[in-house]
Amino acid sequence: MIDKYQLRKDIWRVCFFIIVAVLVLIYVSPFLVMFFTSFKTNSDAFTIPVRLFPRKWVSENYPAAMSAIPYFRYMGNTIYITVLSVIGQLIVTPMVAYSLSKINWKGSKIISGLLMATMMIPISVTMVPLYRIYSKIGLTNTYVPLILPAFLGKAFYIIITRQFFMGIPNSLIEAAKIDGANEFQRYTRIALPLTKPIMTTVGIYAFLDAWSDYLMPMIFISRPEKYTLSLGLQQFMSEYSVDWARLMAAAMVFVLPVVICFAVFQKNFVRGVATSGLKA
Amino acid sequence: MATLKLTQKQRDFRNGLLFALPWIVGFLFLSVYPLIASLYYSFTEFNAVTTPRWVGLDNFKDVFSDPLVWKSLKNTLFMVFISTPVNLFVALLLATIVSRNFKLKGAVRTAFFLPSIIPMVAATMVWIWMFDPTYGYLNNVLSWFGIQGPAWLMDARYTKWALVLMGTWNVGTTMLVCMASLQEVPVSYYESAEIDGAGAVRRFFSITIPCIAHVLVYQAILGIINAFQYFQQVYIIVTANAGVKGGSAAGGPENSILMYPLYIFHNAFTYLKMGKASAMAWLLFIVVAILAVVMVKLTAKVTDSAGRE
Amino acid sequence: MHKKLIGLVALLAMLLISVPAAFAGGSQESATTEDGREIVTFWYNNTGDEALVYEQVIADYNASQDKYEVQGLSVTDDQKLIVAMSSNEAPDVFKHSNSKVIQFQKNGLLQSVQDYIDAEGFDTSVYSAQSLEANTLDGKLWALPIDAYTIQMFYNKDLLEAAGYTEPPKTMEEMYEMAVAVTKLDANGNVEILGYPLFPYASARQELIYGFGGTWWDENGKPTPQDPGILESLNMNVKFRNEFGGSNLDSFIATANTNRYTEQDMFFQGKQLFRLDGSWLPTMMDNFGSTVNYGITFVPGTEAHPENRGRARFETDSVAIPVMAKNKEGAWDFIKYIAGYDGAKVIDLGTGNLPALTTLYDDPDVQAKAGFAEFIEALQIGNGVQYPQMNDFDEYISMVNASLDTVYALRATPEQAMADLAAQSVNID
Repeated sequence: MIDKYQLRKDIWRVCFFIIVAVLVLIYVSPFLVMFFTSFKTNSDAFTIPVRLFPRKWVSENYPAAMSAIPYFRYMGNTIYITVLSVIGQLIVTPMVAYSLSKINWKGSKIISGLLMATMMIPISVTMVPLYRIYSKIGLTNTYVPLILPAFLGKAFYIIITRQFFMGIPNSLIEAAKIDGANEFQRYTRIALPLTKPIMTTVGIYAFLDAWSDYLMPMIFISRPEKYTLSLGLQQFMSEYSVDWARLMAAAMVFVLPVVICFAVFQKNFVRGVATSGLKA
Repeated sequence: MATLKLTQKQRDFRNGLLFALPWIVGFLFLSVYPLIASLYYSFTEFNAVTTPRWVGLDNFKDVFSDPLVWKSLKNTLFMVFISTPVNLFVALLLATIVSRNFKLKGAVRTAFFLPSIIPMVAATMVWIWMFDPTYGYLNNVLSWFGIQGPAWLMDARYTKWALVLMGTWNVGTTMLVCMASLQEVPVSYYESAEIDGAGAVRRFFSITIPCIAHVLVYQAILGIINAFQYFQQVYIIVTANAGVKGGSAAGGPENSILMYPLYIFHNAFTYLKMGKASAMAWLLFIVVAILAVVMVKLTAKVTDSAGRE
Repeated sequence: MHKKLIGLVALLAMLLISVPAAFAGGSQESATTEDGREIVTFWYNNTGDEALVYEQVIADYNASQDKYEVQGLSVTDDQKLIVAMSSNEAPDVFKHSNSKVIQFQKNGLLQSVQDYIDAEGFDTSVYSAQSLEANTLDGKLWALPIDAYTIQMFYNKDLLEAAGYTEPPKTMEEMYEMAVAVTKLDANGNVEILGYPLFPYASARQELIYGFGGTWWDENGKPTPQDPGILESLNMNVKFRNEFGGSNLDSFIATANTNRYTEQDMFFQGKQLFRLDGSWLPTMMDNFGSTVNYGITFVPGTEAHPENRGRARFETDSVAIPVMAKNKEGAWDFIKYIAGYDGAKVIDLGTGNLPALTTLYDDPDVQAKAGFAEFIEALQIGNGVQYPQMNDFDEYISMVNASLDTVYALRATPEQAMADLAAQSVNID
C-alpha cells in the first residue's frame, strides 16, 4: 500500500513547486516583455495574437536607440555622477548611523526622529528654493547639486544602517574602549568592518538612485553634453507617439548596468537588506 | 598639550555631533531652509518666478474648499490603506516561500527581487505596455481563462487597482526583511505547537505573525511614508497617456489617480500656484508627521509586548 | 583628530567633484563664443526627429549672420523652464504653444515683442490675423507665431463607400448615421472598426463640440459648461456609446492611444472611419506606408446650424522672450528669423504644422505637402476657435476632461456632469 502520509506530502510538494513556478514567471515577466519586445519590429509588437517571442528577431532597435542619443557620452556622465554619489553615501551613511546608535548623546534621539520627517517632504515645493541657492553660488549646470546631497547623507540609508548597528552588541565596542581606543578608532576598527553587508545594500540602493534619477538632472543640467542616460531615455518618449520597440531597447541598455551591478554584489546585498529591518 | 579635560558626557556629545555633522549640514541646507521658504510661500500668492505677494490664509482657504484636494487625498489614502497592506501581505507570502529549503531557492529569491532594481521610468513604461487592453499581456493571459480584462488605465474603476498590482511587483526589499525575520523565529516554538496539534495556518497566525510583528509594523511605516509620496509612477502614466495636447485630466481618467503629490506638482508648475502648492505640502507634512508619531509609539508597544523573548 | 581627517577627505572629495565640473564645462556667464559672437540660448519643447528640424533652423540662422550664435536645447518639461526663470537662468528665447505664452504673460513673465516691432517698424501684416490674435494680450503682441494648427476631419473612403455612401458627412447627424453603419464588433464584442471619432480625446473635447456650436468658455473667459451645443454633442456621444457598449469602446480607445501615430495607428490601419486630426497626419501616413484611401473634409456642422461647418480649434506655436532674458536683442533677431519666411518654412514642412505666415500659403513646397492645401483652405475661412485668455486655463481643461470621463463612462448624464462642472468651476477665471 502506498503510504498515505507520503502521498499527501508529495502532492503538497508538487503544488508548492507549481505555485513557485507561476510566481517566478509573474515576477520576471515584465522583464522578459521588455527584453523580447526590444528584439521585435513595431508591427510585430502590435500583431494579434500577441506573442512573447519575436516572430522575427531583429537587433536594429539597439543601434537605433544608441545612436539616437550620444549614448556613450551620457553613459560616461552617468557613471561619473553615480560613482561619486555612491562613494559619498558610503562615507557618510555609516558615520551618521554610528553616531545615532553607538554614541550616547542627546542629539541621537532628536535626529532619529527627524530622519523620518525629512522623508516626507515633497520635492515639488523644495525645488524652487533649492534651485535659487545653487543658482546664487553658480552651481547650476554642474554636477554638484546632483552629488553633494550624497555627501550629506540620505535619511532612508541612515535609518537602515542605524538598524543594522543596533543589532551589533555594544559589548564589542565597549571592549575596545577599555583597551584605550578612542571613538574614531572604535568606529574604524570595530564598527566599520562589520558593516560590509549593509554597506553593500546602501551602495546598491545609492547606485540605483543616482543611476535612474531623472528629476534632478533634468532641472539642473541645461547642457546636452552633460546629460545623463535618464535624460536621454526621455528622448524616446514624445508627446505625440511612442516608438515602443525602440523604447524597450533603450530601456534595456539603461537597465542592464544596474542588473549586472546587482548580480555581482547580490549575496552581500541580500544579507544587508535582510538584517537592516530587524530591530525596530 | 593643554587640552581641556572633558567629561565622558561632553566627549560623547562632541563625538556624536561630529559624526552626525554631514547630515546636520544637509538637514539645514536641503530640508530646513527650503521648508521655511515654502512655509513663507504658503502665505503668499506666488507664481514661482516673480516676487511673492502676502495674502495671509487665502491659500489654506483655497486648499480646504478645493474638491480636488480632497479627491487627491482620498486617492493617496487608497494607496496608503490598500496598497501598503497588500504589498506587505505579498512580501510576506514571497518571504515564506523563499525561507523554505528547496533547490534553486537562491534563483527564486533573485527572481522575486529583480523588479525592485529596475529603474522606475523603465518599469512604468513596461507596465503601461502590459496594461494595454488589446496588445497587453495581462488581458491576453486573462482571456485564456475566459476573462475579458478591462481597459486598465482608461477606466476609472480599475486605474488604482492597476497601481496596486504594479506595486506588488516591487516588494523585494520588504520580502528580504521579512525573510530574515522569519528565520529568527525559534524553531522550538513551532515544534511545541505541532505537538499541541496546531495546523499550518494556525501556527502562522499564532506564532509567526506575533514573532515578527515588530518588523511588519516597521515595514508598514516605511510603506505608508512611501505611499504618501507616491508620485513618479502616476506622473509617467498620466504624461504618457495624455495623448495629443492634453487629452486627459491632470490625474488620469476622472482624476482617479490624481495623487496628492501629483496635485501639488500641477499646482506648482502647471497652474503656477506655488503658494497653494506649498500650503498643500505643509498640510500633508503635518498629517503624516502625526501619523508617523502614532505609528512609532505603536511600534514601541508592539515591540515591548512581542519582542521580549 | 582622525575625525577631522575624515572631514578633510570628504571635503577634498567634494572639491574634486565641484572644481572641474564648475569650471571646465564653460560657465554660463560668458555670453560670447571664442570668435566673439554673442550667445543666444533657445529652448524648444520637441524631441526626436522634430528636434532635428529645430536644430536645422538654428544652424541655418547661425550660418546666415555672424553677430549671434544660437544654442538650442530640447526642454520638454515646463517645470525646468519655470525653475530656470525663477533664478534668472531663463533662456533668451523659448518656443511654446500660444496658450502657454498667454498664461506666462498673465503672470508677468515675458518681454513684449511689441516694443521691438514698434521700434523697428516691423511688418506683422504678413501673419494671419488669427495667429496674431492668438498671441495678443492687453493690446500687445507677446510672441511671434512660427506655425499654426487647426483640426479637420479625415475619413476612410473605402469604408464609407462599402457602407453605401459616396459623400463625406456635412452634418453631425449624417456623420452619426454613417458611423453606426460602419462600426463593427467581433463575436466577443471587441471593436474592429470604429465609426464615431471618439479618439483622439482632445478632438472629442473640442471639434466634436465646436461643430455643434458649443464652446467651453464665453468671450470674457468665463466657463460655460452648460452650453446647449456641448450638451447636444455629449448626448450624441452617449447614444453611440450605449449602442456599442462603453467598455468595448474604451478598450479600443486605450489601444488607439497606445499606438497613436505609429505604424499601427488605428486610422493608418483602416480601423477608424472618421478621425478629427491635424495637418501632420498625411505626412505620417506616407512615412509609414499606409495604404488607406482617405479624404479630408471640414468638421461637420449640424442640421440646425450648418454654418458651424469647419469650426475647429486654432492654435499657434510661438517664440517669446522671457522678461529676465540676458540677451534680448539677440533673441529678437533670432525670432525674426525663425518666425520669418525661411525659418518658418523649414519648421512647418519639417513638423507638418501649417504656416502662420500668409505669404507661405502659396509657396509651392507648402502647397505640395500632402494635405496642406485642404488645411490652408480651412485656415482661410477664419472659423477657428481661439483659446480663452484665462488665468486658470490648464486647471479648467483638466476639470473638463475629468467631467467628460464620467460622461463617457456613463456614470453621469451629460446634464448632471455639466451641472457639477459648472459648480466646480465657479472660481475659475
